[in-house]
Amino acid sequence: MNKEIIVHDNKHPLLALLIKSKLDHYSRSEMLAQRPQVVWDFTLGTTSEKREFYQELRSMGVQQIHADLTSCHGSLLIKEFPELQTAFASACWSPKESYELWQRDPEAEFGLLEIFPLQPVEVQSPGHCFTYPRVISTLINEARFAVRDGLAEVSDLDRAMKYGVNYPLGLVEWEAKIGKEIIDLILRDLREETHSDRYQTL
Amino acid sequence: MALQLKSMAVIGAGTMGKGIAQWFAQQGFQVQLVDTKIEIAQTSCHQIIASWKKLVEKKKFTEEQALMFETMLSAKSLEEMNDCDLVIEAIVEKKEIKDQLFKDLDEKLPDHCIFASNTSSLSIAELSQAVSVKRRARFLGLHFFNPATIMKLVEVVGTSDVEDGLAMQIASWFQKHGKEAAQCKDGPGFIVNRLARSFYGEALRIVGDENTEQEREVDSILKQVGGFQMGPFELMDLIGIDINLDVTNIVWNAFHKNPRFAPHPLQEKMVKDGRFGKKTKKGFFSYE
Repeated sequence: MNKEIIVHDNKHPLLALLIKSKLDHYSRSEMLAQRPQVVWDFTLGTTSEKREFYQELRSMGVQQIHADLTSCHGSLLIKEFPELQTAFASACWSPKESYELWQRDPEAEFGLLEIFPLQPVEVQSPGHCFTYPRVISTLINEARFAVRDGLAEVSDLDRAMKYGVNYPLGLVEWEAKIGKEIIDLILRDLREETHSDRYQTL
Repeated sequence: MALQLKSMAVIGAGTMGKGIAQWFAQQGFQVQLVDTKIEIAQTSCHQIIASWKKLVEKKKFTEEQALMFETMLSAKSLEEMNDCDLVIEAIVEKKEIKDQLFKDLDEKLPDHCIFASNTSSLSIAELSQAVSVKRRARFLGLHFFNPATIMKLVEVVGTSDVEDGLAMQIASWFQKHGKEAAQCKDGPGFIVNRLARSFYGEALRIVGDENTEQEREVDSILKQVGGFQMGPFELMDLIGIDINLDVTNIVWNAFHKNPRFAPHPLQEKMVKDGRFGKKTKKGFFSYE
């Protein structure tokens, strides 16, 4: 029987759910001794950090990877690593309690709901940081600049976006829900992979 | 000076001016809807009255309320307009025309009258240079959202010349009358037009080039996962891809072409091809 494990770091927002899963869970350093065939990767990192990790998993003989690629260029990684069977953006809190899910074989069942009970929305490709994490990160980034510039009080910034364009939350309160670190990681990967100042942060 | 708001005038009887006038009449104001030609203002007044009749049928207002609103509303030409406590300009977005209008109003209207512009793209401080130093203390931006009778937000934009507390007083007044007022400084795009830019810009970068299926998917993801009411591509089609690009360029230029606001070639191509969205029956999606 294939040994199937969860690998996580302490930063993942779903950590509390992951450690309740029926699968054994380990940190990246702890998993080296486990020699799994199937890995559920809930570590958070950039594209290059994940690339290094998956090369390590490949050399260990891991055959199947299901990965949180919220802050990565998922489209590149799924081409480089045929072991990647699913990619998902579960690290980016959603007001609809859902997340984007890509599957190499759309018909396959991997038991994701047993690991974390959120509603998947299937996508054709993970793209670069998926769609929702990428768009919301750049929106939140601009709100950060607006706060830095003293454009308005935080409560006015949030009120404007909720009542002017019907956003479900203001951007400052939205960042508090997702977490500053997740937003920073997404913007960092977009900046590093595209070399564009569009993703500059404060 | 204490806030005294009982009568107001809207200059410009187009879509926004009409909506603003209707909203103020519904708050019990004496409202003058003013245009260069009185016939334009009269037509708009008739349309507002027709709207109230429909709202009575839908039981949003009683007949008595609608009749009262009607008595509060009048059409005027610029020459005929009377004194008022608040004047809001909602004319074409051309600075030289606004400047002349404000100069003329400054000479005509009493000292206590508050001047406001509904501009979405011009600097309030620059517009206020058209009026006297004394008037600049009571010159703000009041940026409403379309339709003004339904959308709750009004951005209250102050400048360094505005008298202490006035913006706050006005914001509080709007809050008491059911609007959500967001005070801000006089920056490009104010709050919403600045912060919302990457909703469109990032979506365009995700698809890169024309791809209807991917555009639909992006819209769908942002609604199903992000909780947005509309996706960026359908929203651009609704607003007008040309209008959206204009706002993008205004903000981008005002921020010295900062890449955070840069327009996307796909949007520029759509506008060049005359595909503006719903109003031309072709945008990112087809409406034929």
